[in-house]
Amino acid sequence: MRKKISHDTSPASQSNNFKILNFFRYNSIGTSIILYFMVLIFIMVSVLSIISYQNTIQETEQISIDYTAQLLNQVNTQIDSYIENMKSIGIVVVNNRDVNQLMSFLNKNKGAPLSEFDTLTLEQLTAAASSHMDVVGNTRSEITNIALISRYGDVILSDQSKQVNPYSDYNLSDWYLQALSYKNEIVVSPSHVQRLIAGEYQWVISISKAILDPSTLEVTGVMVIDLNYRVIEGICEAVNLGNNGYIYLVDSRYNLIYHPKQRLAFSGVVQENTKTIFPPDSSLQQVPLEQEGTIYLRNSSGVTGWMAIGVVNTQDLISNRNYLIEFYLILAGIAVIFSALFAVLISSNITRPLKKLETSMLSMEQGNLLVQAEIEQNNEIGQLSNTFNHMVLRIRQLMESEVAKEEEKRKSELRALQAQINPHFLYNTLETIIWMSAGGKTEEVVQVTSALAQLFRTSLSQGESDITLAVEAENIESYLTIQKMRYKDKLSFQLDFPEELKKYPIPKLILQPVVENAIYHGLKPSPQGGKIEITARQNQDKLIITIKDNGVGMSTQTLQSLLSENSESKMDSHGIGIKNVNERIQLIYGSEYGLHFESTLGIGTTVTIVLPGEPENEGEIK
Amino acid sequence: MKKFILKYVALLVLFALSFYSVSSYYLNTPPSLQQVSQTPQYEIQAIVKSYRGSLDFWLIVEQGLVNASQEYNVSCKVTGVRSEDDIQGQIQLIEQAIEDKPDALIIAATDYEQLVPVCEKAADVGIQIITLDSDIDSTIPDCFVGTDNYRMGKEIAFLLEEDLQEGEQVAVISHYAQAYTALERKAGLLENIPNLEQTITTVINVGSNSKIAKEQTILLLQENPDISYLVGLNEGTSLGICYALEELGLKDQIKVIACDSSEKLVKYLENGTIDYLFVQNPFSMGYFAVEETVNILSGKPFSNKIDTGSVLITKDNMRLLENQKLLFPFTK
Repeated sequence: MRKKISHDTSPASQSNNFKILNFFRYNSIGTSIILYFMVLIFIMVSVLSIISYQNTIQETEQISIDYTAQLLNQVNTQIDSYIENMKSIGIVVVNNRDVNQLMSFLNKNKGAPLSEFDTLTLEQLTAAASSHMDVVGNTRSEITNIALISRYGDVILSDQSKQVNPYSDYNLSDWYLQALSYKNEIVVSPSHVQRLIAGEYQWVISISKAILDPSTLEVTGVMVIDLNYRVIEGICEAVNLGNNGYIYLVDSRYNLIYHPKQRLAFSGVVQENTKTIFPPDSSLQQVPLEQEGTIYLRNSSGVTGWMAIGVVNTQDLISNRNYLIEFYLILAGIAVIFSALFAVLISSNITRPLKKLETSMLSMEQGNLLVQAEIEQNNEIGQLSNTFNHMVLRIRQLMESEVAKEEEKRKSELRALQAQINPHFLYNTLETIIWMSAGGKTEEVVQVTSALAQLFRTSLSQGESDITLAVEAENIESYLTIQKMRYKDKLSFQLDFPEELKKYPIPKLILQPVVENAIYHGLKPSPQGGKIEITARQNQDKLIITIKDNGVGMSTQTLQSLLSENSESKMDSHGIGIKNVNERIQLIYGSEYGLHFESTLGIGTTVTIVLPGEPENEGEIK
Repeated sequence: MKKFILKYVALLVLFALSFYSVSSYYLNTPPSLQQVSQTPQYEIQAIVKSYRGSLDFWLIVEQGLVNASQEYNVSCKVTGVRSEDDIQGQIQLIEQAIEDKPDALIIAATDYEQLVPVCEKAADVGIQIITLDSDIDSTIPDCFVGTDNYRMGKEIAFLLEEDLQEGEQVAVISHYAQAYTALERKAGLLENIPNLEQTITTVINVGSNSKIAKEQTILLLQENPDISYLVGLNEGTSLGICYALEELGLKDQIKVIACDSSEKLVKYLENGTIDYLFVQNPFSMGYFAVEETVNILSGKPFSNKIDTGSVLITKDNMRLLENQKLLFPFTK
């Protein structure tokens, strides 16, 4: 589907280009296959049919012509043999002793009147001769007459009961003249009316010959045998071309000897233009007449010089033609229909798995990473599907590992942070130690330093990310002890950790940042200070640690911002930070655990830490 | 995949089967030779004169009619009046034919004028009229098939002109005066002969009965011994002349121009009684009459007039094959 795309880039034409592109609408592979396949089959079948049909027609025509030519040959052969047969009969008559005796007698007489004796002799001789001729004539039913004519005009008929026509002018007839001139040869005269017999005018073919005296070889007369058309007709009608044509006979001068419609031909109703079709000088054996849809064939006889002409009617092959056309059209129709069916079948076999793959891909495009394409066949499409499946798997793996990496990264970040100790606390504590030491408060120094050491031990310990509540309780006690040293009356605390809960594992450094936060934001701003109460309780399957202070409290805003993104900045002042604690808890245990805040400005703040309470729940950092 | 192969093979088998069945049907049942429909296309009736009479001419016309009706697959019923002069009889026959309501009527009119009313009647009921040999004085017939009789008369005139010696007299023996052929031939002859009054001294109309013609001719010759030339205008009259001359023994003294041919007339041509014989083509007449009728009835182009021609035959040229074909109808 090519369309000329104009190179004119004016806005109007650009929209035209878009229109053209739209023309290349979605064209399914299946439809293409079907279309191209059908066109191909149709063309192939048409071409083959046309070639086949034309070939068949030509073949049929040629067969018809060959057959007719054969028939013509057969006709000629049979007629030749017939004529030869007749000629030999003629020879028999001409050589007959009685016939010759009669002829000699008549010639010696020279037409003069006869004496009584001679008359008797003549009668005897005539009887003998005519009886011989009669016998010969009876051997074949188509012989209508045998006659002898002496040089002096005596005519003797084989049938003595018939009269001679005195006005026959036989001496002007071809059969007579030619017999005389050819002397030793038998003459065949086609198609004429024999008028020798009074009252009879029959159309015959004549065989004539000069009668020669046996001793002198002089011409004594002429013998003629007349044949009717029965045999010739029989031979010609036996070769029936049916609807495809007919055969007729002409002599060497194009005169009609036999025609299936002889009556019509002789009356001029039917005319054959033999001479124009086969002119004397032409050697063509086959002449097609396009306009009339006929082909003229001829076969010439060497014996008689006659021509058997066959007229083949090629138009009559039309009934065959239409039949054939019908046949081929139906075959072509069947082929086209089936080619359509095959095309649909084959194309759907290709497009169906493609469509399935397409669907799978669309599904993946929309986010379904679990999709797997069905592999129907072990071919290119099957391979594609297989590769696609691997790809989906790979992507899923990558994504999962990405997520995992992120998580890991975050956790290690947090872990790293976790390992840090708030430097401010450290500086302050050291300072406290210094002035306590400087003040001579040795016991307090020991206390603080022990507490600090204990704290270091816990927080610097690597490997274990979990500690028990008992350890954390100690930590926080140490921490608070240290802070109390600094803040003195401003800070008081109370710890309540039930024995049965002390074996529960909790992550490292959960309490300390929260308590730190309570001290610096809750108690420190308040002039009189305050009290921190830390309680651990089990609520169903959860461990609840509450850190309650009666400090200045927080506004709602501050409360909200504590756990939000912005509290990153608090990390500098608080080390780990509340947010980090929350994050860590949630990373390890899930989102239903973590920190909760309640606060009222001027009254105090309560921080609730929710942890899983079952000792078996290891909650390892993954 | 298996399903596909199954479907594919099934389709292949179906395809092969249908191809095979169509092929075997078409190749094993060849188109039957077209049966010539037995029912004739049209119904034609031919009403001739001298029907099955003694004149060969009409016998041969009938053969032409029959032959053509077989060729063209039409039914052609041939009837006619026995004599060439039975006008009333022919009118009756035509009336009867009208009752049968054929598609067409081929008529050889006994009388040029008297046949017109009945032919008009036939035409009124939708029957096509075609005239054969003898026409009628009307425009009703779609076609006339026959000899150009006027020209034949003219040729007789030319013959006479060439052959006649000074002072020789000619008698014309014509058949029924009001027959178209008689009218036309006489006209052709009489209008083209120079010195008409001196040359053609007698014209008698004796009808087509050869016996009557013979008697009339003998009478004529007895009354007019100066007559040296006799012209017979049709078969009957020509035969009458020949019989007359035979009986009187005058065949060598008087020259004869005759029309039509039959075996009997040929005999007289052979023996020298007839000097000139104008031969028509009755077979073609009958044949073309039916042929043209079929053309008219089937709406094909047709001619108004078909000239079947006439040929002058003498003892000298009767041997020519073409003339033999005219003189001697081909029978096997």
